[in-house]
Amino acid sequence: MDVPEDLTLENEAPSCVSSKETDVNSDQNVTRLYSCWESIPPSQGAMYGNQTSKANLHSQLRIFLGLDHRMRVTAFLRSACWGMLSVSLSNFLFLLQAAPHSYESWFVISVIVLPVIFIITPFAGIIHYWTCKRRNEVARRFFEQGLRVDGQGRLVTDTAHPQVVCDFSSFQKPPYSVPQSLHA
Amino acid sequence: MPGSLHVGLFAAACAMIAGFALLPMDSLAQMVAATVLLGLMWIGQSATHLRNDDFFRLLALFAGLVINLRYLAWRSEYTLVANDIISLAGVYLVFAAEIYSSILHFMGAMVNAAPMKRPLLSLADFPPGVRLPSVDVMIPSYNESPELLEITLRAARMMRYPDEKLRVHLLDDGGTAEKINSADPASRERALERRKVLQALCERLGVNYITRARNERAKAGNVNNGLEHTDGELIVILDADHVPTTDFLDHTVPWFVRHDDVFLVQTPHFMINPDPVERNLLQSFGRMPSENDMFYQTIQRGLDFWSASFFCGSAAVLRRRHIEEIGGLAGHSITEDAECALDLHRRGYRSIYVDRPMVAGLAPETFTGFIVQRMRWAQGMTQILLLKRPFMEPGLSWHQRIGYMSSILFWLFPFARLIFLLSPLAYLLFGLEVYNASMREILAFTLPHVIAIYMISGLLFGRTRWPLVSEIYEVLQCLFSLIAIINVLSNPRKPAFMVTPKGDMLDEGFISPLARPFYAIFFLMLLGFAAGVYRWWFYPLTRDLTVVVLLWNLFNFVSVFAALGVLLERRQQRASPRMPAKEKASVVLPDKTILPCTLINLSAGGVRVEIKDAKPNFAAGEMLWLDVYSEALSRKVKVPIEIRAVTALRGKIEVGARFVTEDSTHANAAVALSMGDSGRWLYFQERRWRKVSFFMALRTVLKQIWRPVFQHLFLALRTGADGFLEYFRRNRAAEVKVILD
Repeated sequence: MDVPEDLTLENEAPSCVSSKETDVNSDQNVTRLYSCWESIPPSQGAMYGNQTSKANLHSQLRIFLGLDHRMRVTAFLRSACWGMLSVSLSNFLFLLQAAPHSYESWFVISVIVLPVIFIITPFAGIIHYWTCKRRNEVARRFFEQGLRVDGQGRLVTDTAHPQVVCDFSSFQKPPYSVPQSLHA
Repeated sequence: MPGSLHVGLFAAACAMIAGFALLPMDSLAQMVAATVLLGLMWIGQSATHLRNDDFFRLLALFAGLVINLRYLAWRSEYTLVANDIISLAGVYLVFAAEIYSSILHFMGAMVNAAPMKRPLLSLADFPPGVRLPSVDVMIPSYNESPELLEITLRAARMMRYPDEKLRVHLLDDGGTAEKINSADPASRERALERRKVLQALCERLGVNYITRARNERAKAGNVNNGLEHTDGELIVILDADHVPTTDFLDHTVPWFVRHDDVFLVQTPHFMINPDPVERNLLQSFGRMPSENDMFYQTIQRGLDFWSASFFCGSAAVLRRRHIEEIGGLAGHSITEDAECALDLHRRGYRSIYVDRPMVAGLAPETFTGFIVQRMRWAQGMTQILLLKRPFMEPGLSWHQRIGYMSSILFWLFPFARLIFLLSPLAYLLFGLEVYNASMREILAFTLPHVIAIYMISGLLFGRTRWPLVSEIYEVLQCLFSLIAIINVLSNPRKPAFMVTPKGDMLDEGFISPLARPFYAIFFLMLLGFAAGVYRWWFYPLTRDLTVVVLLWNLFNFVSVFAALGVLLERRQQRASPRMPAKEKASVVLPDKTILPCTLINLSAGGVRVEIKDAKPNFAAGEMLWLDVYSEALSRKVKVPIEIRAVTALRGKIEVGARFVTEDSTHANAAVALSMGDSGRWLYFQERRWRKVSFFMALRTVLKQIWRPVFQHLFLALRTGADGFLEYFRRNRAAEVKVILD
């Protein structure tokens, strides 16, 4: 799957990682890694439940990637609808006012296309809006945990030297179904 | 596919575009055609990140190109008329400015159609036993302080590279024999003192101090002198304020090892302080892409795709063999860097652009410094245009010619910008009809053209340049750069190199001495609005045109209004700028108690940490130890710090402290910790690269500009006319003279 450079929405200065493992006093610098799936604070358990596990983060990342992909598709669909709407409308107006002759077929196409587009366009907009909202919700929760999704579609710590928490690069096809748990 | 078929297809496509561009249409048909094309652009630009996004991107660019061609065809065919000779001159001036903008626009679209993303190579990827070239790091200096130089020299010494192959040289032009034998005793004393201090510094740091007899050919001459005294295979050139990260050579040298024909590896100049526009007006250093992000993140990558990325004077590695082939750096212009790259591209050598920020520098703090820097660039590029003529330089490929011409022609923007600023006033104040079109034609031709330009800019530079920001920068520069360019046109060999003042501290806010011309334009525009209302009321037949011109004037007015906000220089007392950080660390108290903390910001001189659940009473002047893992050094470091300020917040305290760096090990650790980590620079940059819509940018800019402008006007009124002029004379007159000379 092609994933863009940075899927994180938040661009403000991020908050700090609130995991217990970020202890640089330890002599083992390897344990400096932000092993977040073992240390999500209970107060932030809305997303992960009380027992956050690596599997849960995998599932959340899967949802995020699915929503992200869907968001891009719906953004394109919405733009395509608006583009076609504007083209059809201007074509229609032109035919009504200035077409010289033999414009019936074009007129008929416009008459057919316009109502269809009029119906599809708001739906595309609404679907896009809700997809964005849900995607941003997941991104925000990752952000609160000090995580983000990087350009390769991996869940990493939101730091200058990110550590990979979950990697879904092996995913060939993004899932489109959003589990009910997301609405919690 | 055979070459002739390619040529045939290309010719056929050109013929089709030309045919469509020249096809006569009435306003209604044009409106329909433009709507269709804009619809295509809209679809194309929203398809990024989908499959075949390159196709959609090119489709959008192509549709925009057709809209602009149709606009130009219409303008040239139907609108270049006037009732009198003065109006006709105005008509042609506006059209010339539009032609210039369109050429720049087309070349920009081509150059940036597919920016190159190079892989990040590392020396660690080579098998053991690969021979690495020797490297000479050259840091030319003229008048920079020893404190500033010490940071750069320390960082250069800490770059990861085999010790026996890395040598660092300070090329001091402030302590030359010429300066030491100066007729002026004060200058002589200063030069002597400087040489002594810098020699001691170099000895302490293990750096080679090099100076020369005479200050000839400025920075380029200084580097050439350095070349004569060294023999490394690769040359790293760093400005005095450009601090390299420890991995700089790790990611640049591999390109030279892999390819024998590479003469240059250029990296971005990452600025750790805001420029005057960001600091005085937008106050958005961490939230909005910086001005040079557009060039280093998009344009240089675009140029790299066409093998035309060029040397930017610093933060680059060059191969000595190739430099010596063209007789060193010095050329005919004061932008010897770009000229040198041009000469070597002409000989068939390659340049590489690595878009990872690995050198942190300072932007000019004052508007005066900013203008000095930009005038030098404008003059140098104009010199290259006149003296080297890249458009007909033999040896360059056609795409390299376009790349160079795109970069060079950009600097002629002051002509076009000034014409666009003053044209509405010519109509509103004097009734010169410089733009002959009805409202219907403007809606059909001009409006889609303007929309297409903004859409293409958004498509190409959306993440690194917000809409309207370019206009503010151009308005601020246009008056001064225009004078500078005219000077070059009258005598291409006249301009002399001027060092950009950097590292200034401003004890108090003040109005820039360069503000006066902007007052004149500001009041002319206000007058233009009054005249426009008068015209609208008393000339009913031209009301449509008057409304359009008033809107044009309003757009210009917003730019000039914002420019006034930049001209109020804000106080700047911090010696070294602090950059945000968020790394875990700990503070060790004198009684060995360890308190976990988080780094909030860092500079070469100090740090701010946040300590949660802190009970101890910290006092200013108290000594502590900062214990933190340094990514740059790949190990933990301990640096002594002295508390300067303590702020208690809800449940936590913030401690501001300075590094105590009397010991060389601690000084190195402080530099590595604060300036040695390219990952932190990249992280910071990526947080502020984001695309916003035109209307959001408009809202942001409009929201930000009011306060600085009113503060400016308030200060100007408070100072009063006499005091204001006196202030000019006392403080800044000499500076202005130097710039305008």
